Amino acid sequence: MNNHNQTKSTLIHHIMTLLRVRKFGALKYLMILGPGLVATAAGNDAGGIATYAVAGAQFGLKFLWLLIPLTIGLYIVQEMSARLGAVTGKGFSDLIRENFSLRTTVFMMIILFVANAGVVVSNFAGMAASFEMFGISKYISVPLISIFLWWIIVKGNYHKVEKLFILMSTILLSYIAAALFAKPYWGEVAINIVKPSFSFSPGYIGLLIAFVGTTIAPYMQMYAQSSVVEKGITMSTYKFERIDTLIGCVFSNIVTLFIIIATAYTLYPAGIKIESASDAAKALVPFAGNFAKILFGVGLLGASMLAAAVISLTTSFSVCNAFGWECGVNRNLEEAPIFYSLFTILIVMSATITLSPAISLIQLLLSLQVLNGILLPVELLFIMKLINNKTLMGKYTNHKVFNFSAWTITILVSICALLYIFMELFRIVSPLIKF
Amino acid sequence: MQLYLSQLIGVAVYNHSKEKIGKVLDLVAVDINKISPRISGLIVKRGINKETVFIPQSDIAKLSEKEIRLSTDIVDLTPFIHRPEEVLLANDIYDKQIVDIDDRRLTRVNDLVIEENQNLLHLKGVDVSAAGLLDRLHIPNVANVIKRNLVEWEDVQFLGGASPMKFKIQYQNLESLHPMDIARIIFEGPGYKQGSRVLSALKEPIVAEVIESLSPKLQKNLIESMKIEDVADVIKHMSPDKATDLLLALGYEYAKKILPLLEKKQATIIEQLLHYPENTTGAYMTTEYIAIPQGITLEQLYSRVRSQENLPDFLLYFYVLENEFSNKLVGVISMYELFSQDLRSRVESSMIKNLISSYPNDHIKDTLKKMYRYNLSALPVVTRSDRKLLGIVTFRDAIMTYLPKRWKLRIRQVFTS
Repeated sequence: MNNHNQTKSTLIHHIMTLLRVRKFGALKYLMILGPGLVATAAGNDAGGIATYAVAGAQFGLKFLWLLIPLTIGLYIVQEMSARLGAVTGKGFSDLIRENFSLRTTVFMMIILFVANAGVVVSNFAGMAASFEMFGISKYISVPLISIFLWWIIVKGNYHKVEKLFILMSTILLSYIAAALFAKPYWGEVAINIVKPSFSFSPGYIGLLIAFVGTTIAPYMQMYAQSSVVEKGITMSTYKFERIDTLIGCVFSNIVTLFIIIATAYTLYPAGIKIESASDAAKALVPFAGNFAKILFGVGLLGASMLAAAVISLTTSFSVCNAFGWECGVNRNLEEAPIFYSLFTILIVMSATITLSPAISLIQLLLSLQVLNGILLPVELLFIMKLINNKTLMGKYTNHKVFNFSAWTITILVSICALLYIFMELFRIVSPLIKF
Repeated sequence: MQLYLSQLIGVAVYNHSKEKIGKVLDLVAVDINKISPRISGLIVKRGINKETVFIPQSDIAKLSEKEIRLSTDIVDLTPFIHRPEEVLLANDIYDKQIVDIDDRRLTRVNDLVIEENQNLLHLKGVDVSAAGLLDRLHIPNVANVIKRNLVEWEDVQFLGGASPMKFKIQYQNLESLHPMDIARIIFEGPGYKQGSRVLSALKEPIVAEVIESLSPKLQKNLIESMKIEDVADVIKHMSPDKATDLLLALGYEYAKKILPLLEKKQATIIEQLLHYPENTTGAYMTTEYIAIPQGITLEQLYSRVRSQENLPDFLLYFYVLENEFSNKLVGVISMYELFSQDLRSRVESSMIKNLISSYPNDHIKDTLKKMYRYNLSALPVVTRSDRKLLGIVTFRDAIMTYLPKRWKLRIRQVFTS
């Protein structure tokens, strides 16, 4: 080739021909898939599994009608968070600090810290429960796990261990097989998915709040937004992220569906109330026989470890970001002392609460999901305010129909939370009134 | 006297005859890029209607955290209009991210220090500590357990906010950092949108280095949010091999748009480099090296290097060509020879003639093995037929081959592994 004589346009033409034959990573778009899927799949952590299993065991198929509205709700909320991340390139707590007053920021950080701490505690309870299934007392397992988790994150290589946790938690997918082995009446399942049922009994409402709170958990939105930012997804590739979010929401609720089916057809007819993790494992017996306990135990342990690590890191990270303190796992203990202190506090606190002798682990798991459900509306309000902020989002604010649906969800979730609070207050106050 | 901005906001303002005018809403600063920007006045919120008026700094008679008294009774009641180049301290700087230049880290403005000196007000520094937060929240800091941490305004780099600003920020403080640190800071903190705005305000050679240090993914995201003319100017400051890598990262469609904006000379080399398939030595080599003709003395070599404007990144060997017009490689001379040999001797006398070299289609790993075996920091790449010098492969490329991902900057805080 003689480059000295060719004109610039033929030169450009040559370059373009050469570029055409190069692969631009055919997997480019597959790489984007992920954050949405992981964020929502992580929703099926210890608290989630316990809530769904209890719902199935106690009320049979009576909770199935929630799945479709919750999937839509979850998608709408997760999509808004992902979009906030893609448009602004900032995490949730950064946006709060930069767009609201300092007081509001502190208030919001406390809410998030409490909600997420609740989730971390519930996952510690999940770990303790999985060890108890094998006859290991929580007084031995919890301190050991705490030290292990702290060490691999602060000193070790967390990212290598993370893959093991993910692998372990996929074992819980055996609930899908268990549901099929339980020989459900599919007609009945289908009817219960579309037919709403409601009850004003405190047990039902409490479980309903827990159900909503664990399906649309505040940390999932923070997770989705932060990982969109970290993966560098921008609006130019956002359409793939939207699909990813949708797949994630549908997938996580399909898992929920099968957990409920499995427990509703095994434990509910037998009248077994779930009081420990071993009871929840019984739903796997028709499928796995004697291995049910091992499958459930290992799966629960993996899911709990994964969620405990990710959520405590995310929480410390968000709080530090809001206040401008050094943070991130690529900093060491000396560089980011507050980040690691918060992380340590979360771990130690969770271990302590889990170890308090008076508490039943499953009961603890459930009440912490309720806490999530009550704090969720507060977080949703802030997401709504941010996503409709024109100076921040430009042309990517919610459009009309979407905005209407998003507000509907926010209002419904708020009503549920208020209803629960009133009922609890009434329960506390009513004995006093009688006198 | 030093005051915190938080102590001034909300303070009542009285005129000369002690009538209350309103409360301080914000402070206006000008010359934000100076060492200590001047405060030109206050924005005061008046009573019920919530109108805001501007009070020039020259009208202030007394200023304290209890009250502000003016030296006049005449207050211009026309509503405040935010003019270009005016910075509203509470609105534009409070709570935003800044770079602490000495510590090379991102932090947030928790409070601002205002200095009063001979009736003039200046922005002196930034409080980045938690003590500043407590103060603003009116939470007592018991026995001052948490220490204040003040950074002088001249030692910080203000990055602006998420939406475009009415004032221009100069980034000379940020530019004093290493490009790798600049890249890390602007991507860990403000995100692409704001990051690209910061980046396009920096000097082009620095931007070129920042972009070179990013992973292909970050490069793509960043460049998509930059103006195409700016990108072209930045690519002009890149070596052709780096520019080629960038084009490959950007993809076919973007390359089509940007190529017409590049210089023909650079495009020619890019075209040649693109001929080499992935994993060949040619795809890894750089075309930035110093070549000299036979027959000159070491002294002449020395002055040639000195007079060269842009020295290549890697400069350990000089490549000796047959003559001024041929590209045929006949020897290599190490930089050490400039210090150990008589400067009047000719380059031929101290150059290595028995050359270890590699061909552009050799697998990169074979070339690296050769470099390791012969203990060389760089290897010339020549044509097989007539030994024409095409480029060099350096030990940096060796590292890139074996540790491709970790050596390029990616954002990794918690999630992506």
